Amino acid sequence: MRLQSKSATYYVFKNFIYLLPLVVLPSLMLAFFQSEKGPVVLFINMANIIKSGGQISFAHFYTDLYSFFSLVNIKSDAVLGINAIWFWLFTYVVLIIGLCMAFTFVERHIKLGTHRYGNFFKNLNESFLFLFPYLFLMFVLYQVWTLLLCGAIVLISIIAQGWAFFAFSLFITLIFYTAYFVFFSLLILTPPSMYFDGYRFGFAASYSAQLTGAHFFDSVIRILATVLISQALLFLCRLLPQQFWLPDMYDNVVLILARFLFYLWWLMFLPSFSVCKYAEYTETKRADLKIKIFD
Amino acid sequence: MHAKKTFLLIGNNYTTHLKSLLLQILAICFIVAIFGLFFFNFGNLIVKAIEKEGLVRKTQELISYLVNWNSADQTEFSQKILSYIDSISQSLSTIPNFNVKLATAIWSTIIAGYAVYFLVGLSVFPTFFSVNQFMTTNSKPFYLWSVIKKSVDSMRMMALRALINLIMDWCCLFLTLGAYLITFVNLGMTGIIISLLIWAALVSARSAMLAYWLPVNINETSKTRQAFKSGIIYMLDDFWNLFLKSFIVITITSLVAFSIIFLFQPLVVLILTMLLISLSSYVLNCIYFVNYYELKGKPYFVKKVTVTYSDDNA
Repeated sequence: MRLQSKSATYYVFKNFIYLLPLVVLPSLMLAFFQSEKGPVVLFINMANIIKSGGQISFAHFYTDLYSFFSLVNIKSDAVLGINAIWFWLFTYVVLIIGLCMAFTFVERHIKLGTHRYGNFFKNLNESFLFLFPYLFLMFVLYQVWTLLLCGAIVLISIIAQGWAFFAFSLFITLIFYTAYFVFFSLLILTPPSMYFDGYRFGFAASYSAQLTGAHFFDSVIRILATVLISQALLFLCRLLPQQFWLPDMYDNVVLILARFLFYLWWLMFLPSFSVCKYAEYTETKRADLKIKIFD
Repeated sequence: MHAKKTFLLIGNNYTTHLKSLLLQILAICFIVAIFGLFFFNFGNLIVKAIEKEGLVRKTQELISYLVNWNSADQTEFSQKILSYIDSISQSLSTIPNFNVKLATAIWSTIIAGYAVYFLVGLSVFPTFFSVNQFMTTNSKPFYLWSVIKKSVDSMRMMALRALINLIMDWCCLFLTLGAYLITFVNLGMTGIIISLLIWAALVSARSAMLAYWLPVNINETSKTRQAFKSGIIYMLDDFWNLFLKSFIVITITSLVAFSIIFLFQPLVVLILTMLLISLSSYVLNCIYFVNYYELKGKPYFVKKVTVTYSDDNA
């Protein structure tokens, strides 16, 4: 006789079927309209250029460098006669709504043990004001932080050339991303703290930093490991169809499918992780856990 | 003159300075990125014009000429310097639509200069808040915490301090350049060293004038202008003491920087000079803090003290 596992990953897989309808639309839209570029693509391109003996230059700062890091997807090509950025903006609206839904569901499930969805607008109203400041802060911080990273890469390109430049900039990028995700996971308990205890954003943020600071390696290493594993899997999915068995026309399909699964995982994992960890650190009683008698 | 105490303070808080160096590098990255986003095109034009006129090569020629100095050819040297200054203005005028872009260029240079002074200087206040904490309580606060907690105070102070420093630094530079071109240009190497000393004296005078602003702002009042006034009043009591110390530090720094020019590549020289400037400003501020505490007659710590209880003479 024992309690069920308290981990967030277990929670996601156990309640997968309940969480799926809430986040399937935003993750599908993200897979289509979020920029395909990423730092991985940038470094692959740079490695190719260096291998062929070319010269790396960042003459156009945005297109050559910053667009690989930025979350904002500014594309000039139009879909159905409308600029792509409007689709991107609409995706983010849907994303925030989906996250609010998932967050409310997870919170209610953990507090009350019920699987009911409830009214759409009431759910949205319940968690929008708690979730939005955190997401907005993290978005702005990501943009500014990657801007700093791009400046550092330009400075390194002045100092070093060739493979030394590649190694240096890869190292700097890893450091910057680690610092960002450490900060991200320090404040990740802010929304549940605002929801459960009714603090304002500032107090909730400092309480969250205090809680995660007490369990620093537990929370931070979990987030970092999840980032690393999911990025590695996405990278493998990018490489596989080129190398092995599929003809060229399936490249896009595999990529979109992989990115869909990637975003789906993150949209399910983030609310579950924050609420489960909040319940664990503050020793709140979880109503969704059942006692297993036979195992 | 409290030299031992100052050296102990500098050595014991050196890790704080290293952390502030990281912040300064981040600030420089930020400026580069912002300029990359908005003004990269104009920057590329300037770089191309400099390459076309061969300014870097001419600078290296001038330096190698200085190294192999011969006192016989003084008039030739002054000719060379005048042609060098001429080629700078020549390279600027080769930029297309220069007259149209001149106003934009001047304004963006002023804004960029102010941004450099402001953003790089933002790390000074938290660093010396931490050092001051060490001097009063013998314990170092968590650096990132002091950065976040003191960010508003730091910005309020730096907005004014960056402006004053920028204007006074440019004034010092132009005064020295004018004096050199009018008076010492025919003296060759001697003239350069004399004008370097004049520059050091001017800069150390401006550094000594603002010396007590930071300690007063941290210790006595959080109002910037109030702190500026009381800092000036305290400064008048021992201006020459401060001036002498600043002059020694700045002269040594500038001589080291001057000798570095002959040794390395231009890029390495730039990086090393920036590190030197950061280090010397840290040393200067440490000297001012020790002087401030001595002036006010307050007790202070300069090294880690551990108190132990012994049973023998209890």
